[in-house]
Amino acid sequence: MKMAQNKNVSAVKAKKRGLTREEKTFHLMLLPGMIILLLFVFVPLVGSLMAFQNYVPAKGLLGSKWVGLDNFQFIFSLPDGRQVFVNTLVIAFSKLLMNIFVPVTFAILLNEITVNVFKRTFQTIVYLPHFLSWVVLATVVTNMFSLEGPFNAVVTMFGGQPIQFLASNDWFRKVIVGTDIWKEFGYNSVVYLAALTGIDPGLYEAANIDGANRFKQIWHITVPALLPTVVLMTALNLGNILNAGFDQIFNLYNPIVYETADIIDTYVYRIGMVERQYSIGAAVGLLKSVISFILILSANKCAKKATGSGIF
Amino acid sequence: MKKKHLSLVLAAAMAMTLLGGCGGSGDSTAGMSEEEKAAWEAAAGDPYGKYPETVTYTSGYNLTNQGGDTLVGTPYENDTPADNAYTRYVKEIINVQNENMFEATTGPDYDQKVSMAIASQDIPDIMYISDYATLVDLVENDMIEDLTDIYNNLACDTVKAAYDSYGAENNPLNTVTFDGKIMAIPKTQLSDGQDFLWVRKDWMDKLNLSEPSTLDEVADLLRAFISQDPDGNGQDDTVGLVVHAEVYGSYPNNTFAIDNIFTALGAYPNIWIKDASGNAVYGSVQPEMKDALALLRDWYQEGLLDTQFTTRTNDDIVALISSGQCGAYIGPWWSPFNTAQTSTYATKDAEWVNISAPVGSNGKINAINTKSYGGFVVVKKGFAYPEIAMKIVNINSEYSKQDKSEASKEILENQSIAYFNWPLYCEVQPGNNAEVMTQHVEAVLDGSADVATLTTEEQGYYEAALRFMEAEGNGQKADSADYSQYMSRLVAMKRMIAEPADFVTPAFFETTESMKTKWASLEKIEMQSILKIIVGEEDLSYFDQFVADWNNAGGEGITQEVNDAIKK
Repeated sequence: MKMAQNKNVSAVKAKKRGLTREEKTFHLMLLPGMIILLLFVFVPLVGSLMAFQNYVPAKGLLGSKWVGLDNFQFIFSLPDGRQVFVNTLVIAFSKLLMNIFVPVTFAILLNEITVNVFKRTFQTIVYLPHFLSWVVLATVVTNMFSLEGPFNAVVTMFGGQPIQFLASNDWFRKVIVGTDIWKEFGYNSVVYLAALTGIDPGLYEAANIDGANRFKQIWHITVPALLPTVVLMTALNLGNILNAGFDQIFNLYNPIVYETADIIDTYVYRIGMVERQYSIGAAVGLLKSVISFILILSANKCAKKATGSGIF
Repeated sequence: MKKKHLSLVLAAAMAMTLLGGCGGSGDSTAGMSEEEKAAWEAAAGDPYGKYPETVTYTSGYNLTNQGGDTLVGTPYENDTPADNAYTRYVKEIINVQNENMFEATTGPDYDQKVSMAIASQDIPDIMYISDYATLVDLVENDMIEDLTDIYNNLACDTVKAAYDSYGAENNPLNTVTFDGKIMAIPKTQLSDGQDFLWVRKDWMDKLNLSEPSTLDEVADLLRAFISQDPDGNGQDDTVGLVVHAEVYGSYPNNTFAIDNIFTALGAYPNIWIKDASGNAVYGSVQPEMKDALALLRDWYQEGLLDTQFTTRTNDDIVALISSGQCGAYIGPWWSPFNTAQTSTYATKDAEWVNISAPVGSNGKINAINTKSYGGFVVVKKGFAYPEIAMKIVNINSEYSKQDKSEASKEILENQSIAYFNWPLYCEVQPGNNAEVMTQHVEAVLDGSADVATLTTEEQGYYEAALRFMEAEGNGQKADSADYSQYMSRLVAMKRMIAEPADFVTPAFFETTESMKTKWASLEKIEMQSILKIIVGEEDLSYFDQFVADWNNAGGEGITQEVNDAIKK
């Protein structure tokens, strides 16, 4: 109690004294980040008001007419709303699962490699696609999956009929999820690799002495050690569950696969930007944010219950 | 202290503008002698009548992106949008002076200023507006003058003839006529002509094929192209007709779109057409579409259409043609500007030819007219000199073209630097202006006319043609820019003049209220269904399902709206 009081007193003293030179430097270093946060996160929040207006650019936020929840009503009355929503969830959820499973597996396998040169080279190679934009990769993917591409070469080699992967409702989502994993698993595995280095080597030594083989060691030491990180990453990613990857799908889809590929973002893009319905675009954006917010909160609560640690 | 100064300056400025405004508007004939009155009236009643005193009007000014900077270092360095070679020229002829309420780059920037002016109920005396919805707004809110009498009495012959050249159905004046009153002066938009079948002539010669005309003949040509190895590399690697990912639309501006195949069978997808009873209907849901789709299904099945067209972007298509894997596509007369042609000309010795095919039952290509108007000039309700708008349009479209004086040369020179200096962004030209220019250049090339008869623009085409022919004469490849100019302006255009198409004018070009929110869904239904039927993923009978879906999803209501809009 006394300690706490003392602390308080010293805190008050510190306030009176002002910041030390060192503290000032830290605050200064924080400043650019705060300004960016303010400019690009908090200020645009005001624009959400558009969702409740019939927004006309020339009249601005203050001059446009208020329409209440009309825009939201419109969104729910859209004939394709259900299909688009389902597509978004299916694609995003598959990506979420695969984006945990593949990087974790990769990280564990990579961790087993003892020759450092190989390890580093592999890591760099799989890391690379992350830095390419989908605009560029879309051309590559289109060619890879075209009738003359390597995938169809394999299909025909085994006597199959060539498949137009990107124009097939059976295949499109698989290609989308697969290529997304290919692009991101290297980058996503970094977190898990970092977690792996934190495992006490003593545990492995002990297991070794007890006669556990490599697989048993992985199963009983590595996997449980990674679990908190996995839970944390899942909780964080759940907030993105309604973002199924606009750039990727927009650059790869075509009307034939609308029924499996059209997601909320591509649909809103066609209504909002092409037909210039700003208010409806804003309403969908707001709706997505609210859902994501609820998901993150509940995921965090579940994570806390399950593993004892959450994000906040 | 400082504040006081500022307010004084502001007050003075306001007083000045007020005084300036008085010069132009108000009851100007009050307190004038009979003689003066007669002089003013005479000026107002003549297409090029000069006012006794300078009349100032407020306006919106269209800057072009080539604007200000290009003037640095020229004699026109100090020109401004309110005082430049052209405004001085206009002032010299009819004694009017523009005072710009706003200046903005043509396009969204300018449109936004217009919207703001309308929203604040304070529009300039005379201004250019770019879209139809704005015009309707202005008419409905009674903010602009009826220009019927002014047009009838003051429009010069060139302007009247130019409007008439679009034909009764597509006359730009139809669009600005509300309840029989002409509410604006439409700026014209040149006709883009028809699409052609562009074919590698070197391939045709090699396979000993003659020019196709009907759908069957086109199919035969494509069949030969995919099966007889026209590129002679011993591999079965050529594809059939390339198809734009959207299949049709924006006629004829989407190179690779295959509207012509639909129209040859009497189907007019993606536009509003008039049915037998005179009502507007959407072309994509009409029964004729079914015939066209039946044909395209067969073509796709056989490989006459590029079998991977649904996943190809425009760049992919260009790459396909450039690499010599495809020798046929549908495109407009300016297709030679496309990389698909310039690259094959330079590297593959390709010879391209534009063929009028496939033709309809009338033996001609069935084409779709483009919008004949590209914006409007409107006059604010109550402005004392509404005729100024018409007079300036007269100067833009006729006087300045026929005038051979020093001043006219000066503005031409100035225009080539600043590109655009008109106080009012509106020229009225005949729809076939591109054809007319070609005929002028041809006349000089065959010696029946003198180079001096050409306008600056035409001279550019003429010189490109000379350079192209010289290079080819020496057995060399011409510069790709010269190739494009020569091939499109002279070769393709010659055919366009000699083999006219049958044009259908869409009944409606604009958007209605519910289109804004429902069109994206309808378009989705349409594209999805049409593509699935063509690639064989659905049966032909699925078309009926599509029509029903389309109507239920709002198409029926929009059709009603379109009909209401036409009957305005």
